[in-house]
Amino acid sequence: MKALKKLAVVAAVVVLIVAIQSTDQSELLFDKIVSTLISVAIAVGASAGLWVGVNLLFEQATKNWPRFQALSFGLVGGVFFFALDGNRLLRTLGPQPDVAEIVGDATNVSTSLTMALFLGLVGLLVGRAVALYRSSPALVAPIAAGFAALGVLLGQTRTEEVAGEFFTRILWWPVIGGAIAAAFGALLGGQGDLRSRRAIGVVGGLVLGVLTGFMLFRAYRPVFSVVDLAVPTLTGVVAFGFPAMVRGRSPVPSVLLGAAIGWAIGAFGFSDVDPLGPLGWQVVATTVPFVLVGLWASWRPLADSTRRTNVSAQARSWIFLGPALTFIAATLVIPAIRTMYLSLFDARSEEWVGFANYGRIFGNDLNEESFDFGRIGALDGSLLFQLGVPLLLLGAIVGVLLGRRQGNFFETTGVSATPIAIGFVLVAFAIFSTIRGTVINNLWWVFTVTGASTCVGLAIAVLADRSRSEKIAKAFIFLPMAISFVGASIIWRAVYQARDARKPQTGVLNALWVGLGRLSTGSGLPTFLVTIGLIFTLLSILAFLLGAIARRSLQGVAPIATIGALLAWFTYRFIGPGVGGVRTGPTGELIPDPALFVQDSPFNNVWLMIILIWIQTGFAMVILSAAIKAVPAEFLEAARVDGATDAQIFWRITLPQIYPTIGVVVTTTIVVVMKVFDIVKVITNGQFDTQVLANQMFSEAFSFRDKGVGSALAIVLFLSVLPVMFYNIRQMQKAQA
Amino acid sequence: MALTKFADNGAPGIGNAIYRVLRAIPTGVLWFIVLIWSIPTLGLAVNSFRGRDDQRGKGWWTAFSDEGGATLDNYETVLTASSTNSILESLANSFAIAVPATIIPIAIAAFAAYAFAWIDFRGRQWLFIATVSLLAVPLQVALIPLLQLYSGGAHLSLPLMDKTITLVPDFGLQGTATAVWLTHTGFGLPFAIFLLHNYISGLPKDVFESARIDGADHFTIFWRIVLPLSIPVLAAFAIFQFLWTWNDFLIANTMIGSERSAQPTTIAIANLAGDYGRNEHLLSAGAFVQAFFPLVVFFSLQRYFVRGLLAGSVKG
Repeated sequence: MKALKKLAVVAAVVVLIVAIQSTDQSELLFDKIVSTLISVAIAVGASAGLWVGVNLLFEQATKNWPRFQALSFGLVGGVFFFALDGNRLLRTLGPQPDVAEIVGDATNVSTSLTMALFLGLVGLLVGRAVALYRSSPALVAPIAAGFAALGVLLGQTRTEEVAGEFFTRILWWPVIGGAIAAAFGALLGGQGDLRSRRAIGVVGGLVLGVLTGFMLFRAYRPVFSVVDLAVPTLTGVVAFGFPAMVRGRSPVPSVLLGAAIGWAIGAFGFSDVDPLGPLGWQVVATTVPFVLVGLWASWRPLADSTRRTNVSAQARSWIFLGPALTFIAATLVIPAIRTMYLSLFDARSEEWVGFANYGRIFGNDLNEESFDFGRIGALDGSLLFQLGVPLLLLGAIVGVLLGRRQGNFFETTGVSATPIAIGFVLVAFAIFSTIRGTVINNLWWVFTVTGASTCVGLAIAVLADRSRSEKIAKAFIFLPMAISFVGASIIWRAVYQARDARKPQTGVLNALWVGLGRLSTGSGLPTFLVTIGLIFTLLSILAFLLGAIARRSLQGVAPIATIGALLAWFTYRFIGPGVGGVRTGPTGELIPDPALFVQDSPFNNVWLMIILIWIQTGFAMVILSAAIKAVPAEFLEAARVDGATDAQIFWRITLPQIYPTIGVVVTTTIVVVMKVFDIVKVITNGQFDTQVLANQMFSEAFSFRDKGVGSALAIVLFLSVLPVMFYNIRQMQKAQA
Repeated sequence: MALTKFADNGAPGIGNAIYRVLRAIPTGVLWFIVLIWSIPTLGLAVNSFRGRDDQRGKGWWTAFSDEGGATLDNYETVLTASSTNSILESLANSFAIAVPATIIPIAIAAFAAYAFAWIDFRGRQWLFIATVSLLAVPLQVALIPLLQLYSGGAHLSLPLMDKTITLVPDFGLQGTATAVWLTHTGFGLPFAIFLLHNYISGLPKDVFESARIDGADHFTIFWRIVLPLSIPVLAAFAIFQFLWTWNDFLIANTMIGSERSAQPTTIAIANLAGDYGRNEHLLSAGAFVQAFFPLVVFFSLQRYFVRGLLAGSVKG
């Protein structure tokens, strides 16, 4: 078996390679694969390098504090100046293009040297990481040298690109800012005397501040008034100082930082801009916050070994969490918040409209209505409703009668629960198919798919449990999980296909439907045989029921009676007015009448839901099957010894034991169903009254380009799964406690 | 015990033969369900080997009784790059999306799961719950801003200063595989962290303690102990993420849309299905080529898949 699996994997790879090789555009595909591999290697390498680098950096906190300070200050300074420069706030440094032209060859050499230096440093870092992992320090030098050589190569071959954009525009400012900050960091890290420390901080701030002040573009030269400056500064002081005081710490460092931030906001956010204003003001505006930050960094005494260890340990958790939290924040949390914000604006995100978009959704003011209560009066005319209500009443009456005999108010047994369950489903379907609209459709999906896939999954799990063919049978049911929703939609589209009535049907369901019609209206031997078979089955069911009543044992009566009732109805139709896809033409001849499964509203929705049920049942089955197997064997043994039947063991022991798991399956399925998109998109794209929220969101946002309504629909979708989310959190807290 | 109330049941009072028939009913019902479950797929599989006219004229079930040869024409058409209905390029695109989107989250999530399980820090509990509760968030909620980010970067305009600050520059990612796998990486992380945390937090505590006594820091412990021990759960997650990214339609459709050179297979076959009638006969072969790799992964690694599914949902 194992060898077979390995063989399958190898076969897949071979097929792929052959498929690519045998094509005339194999070069193009080859390029694509190579570029994918390169991008993966770069992404993995860069993140691994970064991650290991940060790890090594914080290792220095315990080993060599001045070096740690130098590196971390340098890093922060470099990033800060990179941000300033990247936003085109600082004047360009480095060799200008015309200079590069004059110097000619020299630039070539200098570019290569710089590039070699730069990549050599990167190589040193990578080498350290590799050496650490393989515990062989000898690897550092060759790796660093390799990177440096790559730098020389890049500098030689791509002089213009590298020298032009990368160095003159991007590299110089971060390097300069970083180097200055690193120098002061190193000084600070080695200085224990408080007064000297503060002097170093002030001088460092002065140097960086004056440098920035002089190099800032004129366009951002502020002309500020005292009020513009004082209000934000004081706000910063209070906002940062107050929490520190409440916590009982010295407020001075927080106040310094708050003042710096407030000053910067005041000077560059609230003041007027005047390119012809005095340079001095600009220098003052940048220098003050830098000096304040320098003081903040140097205010506390030199860190002792406890704090160094703390810094290192605290940082570790954030290093491990950092990449994940960054990604989650960038792709989920921040976009979700922005979607909420966009949902309050108009289609082009320009004008604030308040809750108007939500008003349109709930006020039926979109291309498809969200709720259509117009036909609610027709509810009592629905056959489902007419059948469902009596069943509900029947179940209730039986339950109460049985309960009185047992001394309870209501007795839940198969006899009372079966009619109630069926009646409930029928009434729910009657309601969902009468009230139409996108939101109602979504609820219908959730109700049907969650219920059906959980019930069928549970049934299969029970049926397959301990049977000889369990594994194979389960694999077949599970298989749709591996197929995409798009693929599943295509598979089922073929099943639902309806062709012109005169031609043979190619969809399985319509072939069966029309075939059934032919059979029931025909008069040949097959029709006769089926009729006999139906009547025989009905009679035996009747015999069973009568026998059960005679024995006064209600075991299994309810499901059998239900099946019998359905079968009786079917037999009546089959013998009498006819059933299936055939109708009588104007001249009395029989015409095939295929069903339009996809087009006929409202029950086309159910046919779409079946696709998702087909996919989701496997999931429910696997999880419930594991839960059933986990029920302690002693419970079952004890019940069997006491003479319980299989059915009783299931309903009274197994089922209560797996309730929590059913909860998990139901909540997971609800979330999946709520978001259903692909199936509707591929099969109907929301036509024929099959629209659901996710597809409506997609077409509003990306087809009609209405970002406001699209965002609002996404938020509605989000709010609708919120209860499930809270339930999950509660469960998790319980599990953790 | 309450169980004694079951004692009033007699054995079924029907003859032995009928009883045996009744015993066989569950297995019969089971195989009947299996048959119903398989017919749709079987039909498509049969159709994919039939020619255009055969597919249009008669149902697939007639192929068993009729003469009329099986043909590989459909597969040849969809796998020949030069034909207009080729899905070969999209196959490469699907790999370009699924491979990075599977590998990268594993590493990132393993770090985070380790931190949540074995590093003490303030707010660990609520941060973990907050992260994992994102599992249920419909990803539609992030699509519009993410598309804006990929197609234009992120900018913050300061109204009083009349200056726009660029937070993220425009990398021109719209319509590329990179945009799709970046998105998948983010969306896959809550589940990955949940799954890996369940496993990693269950590793024996003694291992960590003795390693720490030997002077190993978190970094070393993670590389040398946690990663090698977690291979099964990493495999389980990798299968999940591969299936999920390979089969995804929504994210790819949003980020790539009509950019033909970057479309993955799901969009390619949906397009085949979209131009009504004309390529109907290629659809079955296309759908099977699309499903080929997930099915191979699924059947060869089913054990890990089921294990992952269980670890991810039964707990709690």
